[in-house]
Amino acid sequence: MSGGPGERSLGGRVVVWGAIAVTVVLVGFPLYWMTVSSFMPPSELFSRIARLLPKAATLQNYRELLERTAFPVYFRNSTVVAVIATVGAVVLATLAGYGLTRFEFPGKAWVARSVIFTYMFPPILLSIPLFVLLKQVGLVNSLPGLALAHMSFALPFAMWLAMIFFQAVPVDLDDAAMVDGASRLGALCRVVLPLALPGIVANAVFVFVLSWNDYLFSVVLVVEETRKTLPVGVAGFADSTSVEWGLMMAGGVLITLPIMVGFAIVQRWLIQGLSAGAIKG
Amino acid sequence: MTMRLTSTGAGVLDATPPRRRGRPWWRGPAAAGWAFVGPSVVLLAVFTVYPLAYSLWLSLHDRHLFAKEASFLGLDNFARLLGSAEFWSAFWNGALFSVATVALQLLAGVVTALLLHNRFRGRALVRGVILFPFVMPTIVAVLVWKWMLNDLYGIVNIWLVDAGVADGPVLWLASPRLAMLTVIAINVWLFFPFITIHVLARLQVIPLEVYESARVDGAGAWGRFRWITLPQLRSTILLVVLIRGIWMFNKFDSVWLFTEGGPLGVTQTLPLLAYLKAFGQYQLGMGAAVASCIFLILAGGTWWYGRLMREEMAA
Amino acid sequence: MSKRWFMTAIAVGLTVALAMAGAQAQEKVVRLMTTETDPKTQAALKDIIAEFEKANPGVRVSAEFASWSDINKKLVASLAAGDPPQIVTVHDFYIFELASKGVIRPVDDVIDSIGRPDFFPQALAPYTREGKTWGVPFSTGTNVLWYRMDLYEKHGLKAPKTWAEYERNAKVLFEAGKVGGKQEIYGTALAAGLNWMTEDSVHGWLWSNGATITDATGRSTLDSPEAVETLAFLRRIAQYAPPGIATYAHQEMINVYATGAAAHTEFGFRILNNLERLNPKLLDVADAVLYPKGPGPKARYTSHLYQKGWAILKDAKYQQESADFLKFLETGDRKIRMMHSVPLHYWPPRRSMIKDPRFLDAPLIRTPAGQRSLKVLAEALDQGSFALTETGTTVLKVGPLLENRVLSKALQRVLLQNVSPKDSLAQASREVQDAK
Repeated sequence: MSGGPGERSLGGRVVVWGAIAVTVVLVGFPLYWMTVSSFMPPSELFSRIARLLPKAATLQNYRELLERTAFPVYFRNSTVVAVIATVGAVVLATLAGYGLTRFEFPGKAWVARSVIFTYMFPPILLSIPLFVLLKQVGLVNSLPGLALAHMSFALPFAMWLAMIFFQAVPVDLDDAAMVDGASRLGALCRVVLPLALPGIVANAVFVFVLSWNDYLFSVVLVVEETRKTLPVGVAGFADSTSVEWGLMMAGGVLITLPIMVGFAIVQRWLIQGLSAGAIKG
Repeated sequence: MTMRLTSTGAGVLDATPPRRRGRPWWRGPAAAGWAFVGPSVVLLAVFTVYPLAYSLWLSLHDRHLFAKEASFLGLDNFARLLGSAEFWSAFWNGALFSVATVALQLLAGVVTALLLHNRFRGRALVRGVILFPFVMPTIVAVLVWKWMLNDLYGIVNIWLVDAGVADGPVLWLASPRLAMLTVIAINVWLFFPFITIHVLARLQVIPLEVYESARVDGAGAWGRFRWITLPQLRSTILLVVLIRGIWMFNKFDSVWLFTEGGPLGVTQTLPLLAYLKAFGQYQLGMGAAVASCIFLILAGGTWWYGRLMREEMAA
Repeated sequence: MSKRWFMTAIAVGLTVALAMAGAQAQEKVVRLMTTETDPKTQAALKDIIAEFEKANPGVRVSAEFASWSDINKKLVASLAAGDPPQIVTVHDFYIFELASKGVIRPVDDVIDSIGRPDFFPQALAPYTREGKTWGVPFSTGTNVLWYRMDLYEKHGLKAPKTWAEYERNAKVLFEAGKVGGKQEIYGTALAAGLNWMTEDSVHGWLWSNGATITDATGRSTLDSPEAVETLAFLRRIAQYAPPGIATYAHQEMINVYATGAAAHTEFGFRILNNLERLNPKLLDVADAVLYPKGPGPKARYTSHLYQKGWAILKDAKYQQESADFLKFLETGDRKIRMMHSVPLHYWPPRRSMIKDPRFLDAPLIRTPAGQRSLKVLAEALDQGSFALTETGTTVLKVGPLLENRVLSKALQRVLLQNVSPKDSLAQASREVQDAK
């Protein structure tokens, strides 16, 4: 069952395929239902009759979402924040990971071990002092400020990941490059990075998802309507005056779909990147 | 030149010469290390250490949410917390939640990783579907599940009633008996892909020859799993269990958005209690105290786990 | 080596650039934080803001919309950062918490500039303490009992005036709603989640039987026989409601009636707007009564009222501009447009407004449902009570008690844990006594 090539019996193969099918259905059904519901008019949504497909499919929910609400604005804001946070966190984490695996310096062990401590405090209460901090550097209520908050929250895990996959790249490669006259930074860029690229992609994916999905920091750190991100905006639909289920399902589809597409594209590198680190475990 | 894997990276030919008299410190290897690590450390120090320290400071004070003054209480908040039934109930709820979710996430993660390790057509697409719960924003996932589990309009209840399995709608989130189970199940669905990804990555570097020789020696599928796969996965599993344990114990939105701690507090975990104290009851100091307790519990737990892990790895 | 310095320089430069990007322009910004998030209200507010900004160059008004649960967090964060918003929406049951902590300032000046005699005294009272008024009332809200005229006609029922009648009607409609083993229509709906809807609902039912949470001195009366009778009544009513009521908040109460799944519900007049959007056919057959009377000696026909208003934060900058904006918002044609964004749900407690033919000219108000509602609304405003003044005198501790969901928890113990109403209220009563 564990990855041995080809020699599985027919019965074994059927079991595996059956298990995969069941898993796909169990895990993917909410995605399917969200999509189906997004095309249903209110009369069908509240009909209390079980149907796997809408009887009178409609684009009404999507129209309302894109025209009546600020959804496109939220989408743009989320993208901007996530991109800034991802670039920032990956650059910093890559540098830090390289430094932690290539140099000896005082305090190094302490840095490597303490990164995990930041995750032990519930983020919900961190939002207030974070707000005060951002205010003091003039970044409160701004998309770059929110990106900075996301960056700092993702950084410990990103550094940990970076350390792992840099450890898998032999130091001798650096040394060889430097013998040829390259500086440390040059060695990093020209020799080590290309080998660690899948791992960097893995890091980018985790940070992007973390930023894209964040609600806790976004709701406190950004107050202006035009700068709200997707999770905050969608939560707004659910809260106020009535439950606009069709609208929210349509919003859910539009939020999830691009992420899934992007994820499908990068997942090959994602897993490859993690397996590079897996040599050391 | 042989390939060497070292953890510290002190190469045979270190391009930065060792410290010599007259050489300024900023050209030494230590400085290089700090230059690379510096920006991250600064960012973390400012954006995580400071807020953490502030919250710890708050926990020693009595501070109404909207007030400007805070009066020093020493450890009073903690004393009151540790003596309250509310705190311990939240602690045990949280412990149950964390242990159950991590255990089930591990099970689901390893099983799906094993399944996805096979080659078959459409594997990329299947992987995308199976991994998608992890990339959905929690708020969207909550909305979808609430919609599916709705007592009157949710598809799950409509099916169960139509199929005659249930007499009436099942109260997934409204019943004190079921609410915690429902929340646990959905949190497993949400986060198991994290484990799947890591385990899958690890599986892909197990050399096939190892399996081949085992097969030649007559090991069956279960035997290969038990004696080859599992030991290879051990270090990965130990690490993901730690990080998932920390993250699940601290989980807020994927519990609160479903139940807000109810009904009757059965799903009230420590992070929810912290939120309730700070923003629901306007006691910011007390909320910070709960948060500090969470921190101490997790720090202690991690230290103990680290020792366990070192013993495991040495074994 | 030079590359390393180059990199450091870049890093520093980036940080500086980011910081400068956040620098604010030099203009006066009045921030308004509100929970009124209905899209039509948002649009009306934005238009009014645009008009104000045109008439007042150099002043910008920024409206921030947040949900109930988020607004606390945002307010606290802003206060902690030393840059609070100027104006915030307040409700009668927590305004004094903000006042006592020095967050807001008295707004007698704004009320006087709008014209104090124009405000109904009953609307100013929930905001007034020790001679100072802390908020500008902008809308009085109500909770009433909605029923279906068509179903009532079909089964020969009459609008309920007493508990017994309501219970019987709910039972008849519950049994009639069972079609082929499936409950097509539920007899009624009852909020039983841990939220303000449940608090208001249970509170209203307590009043309908002559019970209150405390007496005028703040001593608990929550364990009175009339209160016990109320919880027992609610437990009976709950059997005709959908099974998931322990999670129901106001959204579910609206939804379940508007989609035709329940024959009764409790809510304010916003529900007509939802019917208009979701299910216009029901608009013709929707009607309401106040909460029917219980059997207790001091029972009365009543409604739970709440007062929404605007408050100005004490430490905010641009106090004069904020006061100016509030006056602008709350007078003239602009006030009418705000109220019209959700007609009948927004009810201005102002003498000049409610007789103004322009105000009464909203399309929804002109429908038969709207006209029916006007009568019920008038009754509700006349006979209803506010939370903190249930006994006639303001009892401050009722506010925090309600926010800690004392009544919702009492109801949930009865419904979910089978605790007897007497024991559940004994526990709730201890909570009331312990509160300061």
